[in-house]
Amino acid sequence: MVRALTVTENTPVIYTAESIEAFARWATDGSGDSFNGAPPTGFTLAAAVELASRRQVALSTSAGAQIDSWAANHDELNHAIRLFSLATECRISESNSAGLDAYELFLRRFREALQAAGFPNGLAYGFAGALEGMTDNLCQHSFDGHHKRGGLAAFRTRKRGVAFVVADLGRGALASLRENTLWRHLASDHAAVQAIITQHASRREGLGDGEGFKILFKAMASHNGDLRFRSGGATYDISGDLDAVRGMAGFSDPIPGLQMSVRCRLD
Amino acid sequence: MIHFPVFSSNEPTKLGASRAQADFAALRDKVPNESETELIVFDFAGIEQTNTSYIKNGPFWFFACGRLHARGEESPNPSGDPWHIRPLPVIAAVANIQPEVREAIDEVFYVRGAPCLEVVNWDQNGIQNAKLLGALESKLALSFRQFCSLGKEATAADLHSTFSADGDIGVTAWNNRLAELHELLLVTRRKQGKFWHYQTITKEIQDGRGPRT
Repeated sequence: MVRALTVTENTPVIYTAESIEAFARWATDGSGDSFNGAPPTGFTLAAAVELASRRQVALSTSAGAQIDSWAANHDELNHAIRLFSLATECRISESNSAGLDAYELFLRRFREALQAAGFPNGLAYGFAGALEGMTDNLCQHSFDGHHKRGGLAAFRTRKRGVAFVVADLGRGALASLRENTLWRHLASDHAAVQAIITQHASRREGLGDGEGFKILFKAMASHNGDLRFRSGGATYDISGDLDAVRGMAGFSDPIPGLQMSVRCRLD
Repeated sequence: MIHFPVFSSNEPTKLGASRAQADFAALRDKVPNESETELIVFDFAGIEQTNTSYIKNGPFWFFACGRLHARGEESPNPSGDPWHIRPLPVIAAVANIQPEVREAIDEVFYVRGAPCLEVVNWDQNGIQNAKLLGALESKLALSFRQFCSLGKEATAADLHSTFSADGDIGVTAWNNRLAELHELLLVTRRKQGKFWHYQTITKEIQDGRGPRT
């Protein structure tokens, strides 16, 4: 199922907790055929997806404030949004008349939007590969018998800028990694998130490192990229440039699942 | 030998673990847990683009299962997940790979310290000619090339007597190297009397880009 929302340059820029909550509701279950409230602006999209993930959880004041604060610093993109619900098909879905399944169509739109936004072909394909890896990761590792399949992938572009997010309501990084005896010793959400990012930890045993995020780091490292992981009570923010990729751990109120968001500017 | 065309549904691009699992689930279920070791040639003809996640959860998954079987080991962490690795009597090789596909395969196998045969010619009797991708320790690579050049089944003693002029490799060292090559799925073996008789997976090995050691 593909849900798309276009925000024109003239769309009023209104960002409130209510608008994000309404957007999150629309993004999660598609209530109504269209989104009727003011959409979240700029990179608050990522915050909206985080809220989408915790929609049924009472929003504590501190979590709301933390998300608001973070989102306020990423509020510069305002061109278009497209969403893809992974709720049922989890990326392998029936093909449409053009021979593309919904997920492939989503990725194609992402590449085309990046190219239209001024991203070189190689980088557009790199980011599409990154988004592919992130959604693949969601399908592979987020769910078990106790967690229903469900998640969101979204992107937004503007001239020479892009933000994209993948979020789910699954079991989270810690529970997933602890299925692997190599990582069973992990004791916290922070340890799990950092193991994924810095040690390529993966749930499945015997297959070596996880692959999902290497391409992402390569693509973002030299292009003013920012990346945010959040799982359970942990956040991990990464900034990249030509010389190094730097990470910073943080805390959030516990929210189910894993949410990943990326922002990149060419200038 | 199982010839498995990867190209399907007019898709020249194969990306991601989920796609790999969708593509290879039927093959996974087709391989019996106990039988003669089966060679699977993953034929990438028509595939223009892939990535490491696809390769890792496709050909490398079968390699990892085959290696467990060759080592006589059990699954490291049995679970209900059908994609947890488990011992399977299989050997994985690849064929008809374009440069970008070769790069992904080489990277996946290399970083995991494993070799992969790129098949150049094969028929119903098996692989006639192949190249090595991935990683193989230099002494093992030399021994494998020597063994291939012999062109027939052999024991460690046979190889020792044939190649003794090329270096100081004793029968025990040949035994060890053959056992390692067997665990890396480059040779098969059968026991006859007290001795293992080994056979290379490919009749000839070509010089190519790899493996890196």
